[in-house]
Amino acid sequence: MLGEKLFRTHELSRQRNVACLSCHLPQAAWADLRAKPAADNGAPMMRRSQTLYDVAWQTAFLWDGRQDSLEGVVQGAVASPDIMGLSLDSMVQRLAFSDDLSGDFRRVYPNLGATPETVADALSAFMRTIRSPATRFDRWIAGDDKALSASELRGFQLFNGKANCVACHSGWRLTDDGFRDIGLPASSDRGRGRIKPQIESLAFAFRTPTLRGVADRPPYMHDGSLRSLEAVVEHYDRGGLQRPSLSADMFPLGLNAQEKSDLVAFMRSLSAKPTPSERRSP
Amino acid sequence: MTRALLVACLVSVGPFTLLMSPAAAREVVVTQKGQQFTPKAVTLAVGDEIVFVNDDNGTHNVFSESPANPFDLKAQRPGTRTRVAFPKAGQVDVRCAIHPSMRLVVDVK
Repeated sequence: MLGEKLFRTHELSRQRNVACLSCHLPQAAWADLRAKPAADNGAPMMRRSQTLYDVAWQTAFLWDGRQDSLEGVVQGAVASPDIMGLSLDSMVQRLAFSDDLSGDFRRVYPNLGATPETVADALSAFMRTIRSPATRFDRWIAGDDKALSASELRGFQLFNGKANCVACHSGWRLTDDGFRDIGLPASSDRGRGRIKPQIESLAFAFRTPTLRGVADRPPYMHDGSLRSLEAVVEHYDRGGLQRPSLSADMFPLGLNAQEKSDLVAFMRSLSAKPTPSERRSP
Repeated sequence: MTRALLVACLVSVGPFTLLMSPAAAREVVVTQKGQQFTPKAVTLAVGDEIVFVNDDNGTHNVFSESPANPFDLKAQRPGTRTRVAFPKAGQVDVRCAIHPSMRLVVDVK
């Protein structure tokens, strides 16, 4: 498949140091395990890599939503000096002379060959095949009462109730694709606020990610500043930093230790493979 | 002032007053449900109002950056209604800050 080949090749980065696969690893739920992945030029990227699970259903892209299509994401990532750093003209030239890829383009796009549009089309088509695997949570939804433990079930009830997670992490992907300030410490990165500076609630707002496979891809948040799901729950329990842009759905939760543990247990049930803590369980 | 003179004043002022008084502002209800505006397009006269109703389970944040009628309703909780007047003519693109896929076009004539 051409799209998968393009996903794996280093030919799309200026110094051939990185591929799409470098920051979107299947074993890390198609994200990676670094807070700030290294760009082609070796510098750390501004934000954390995001999972590609179920990206075909996404309605907004990147942490700040500055792209409204997957094709736009592809072209932006290749051309950005902060990511792959290869101009689209140079990319087309490289692919035209690539022994490995030029024939594939002639076969898949006989009238067009390699163009910025066909590269984006092929890569996007591949990424849209990346589905989150079925989990124990899905088995429980389908009617298997024994698929979740008592702790995980309590966690799901908290998720929908006292912990208010469902206000943002709703639907089968466990996200509404919304943009909110969740009260992380302020930094120079204003997220969507850079794009819409007049809208108060968008200062420090970032896209709500899916929670599918969440246990497989620490660290968390757009900046990778929280190392574990336990740290994430502690953040939400505190309610985030008070400021005008803070989401109306953020407030101190008053969770006790058992409730925090139950919430983490529920989030771990959103992965297909057993996590280390589950393997230790009786 | 005699009664006749008062009546004469009223008669002379009456039609003028009627011409100057604005027509009653119309009110159009736009709901937000399932992360969509309904309806998705509205035509208004200058001065008409939209009542934005959040019928969803989650918070919305309706806003417009259109030069003619910019506004920002900030956080709107489920079950609440907020009224917005459109005092100038022109096309107004209305969005939800939280959910960019929610789009409403208001044509103020």
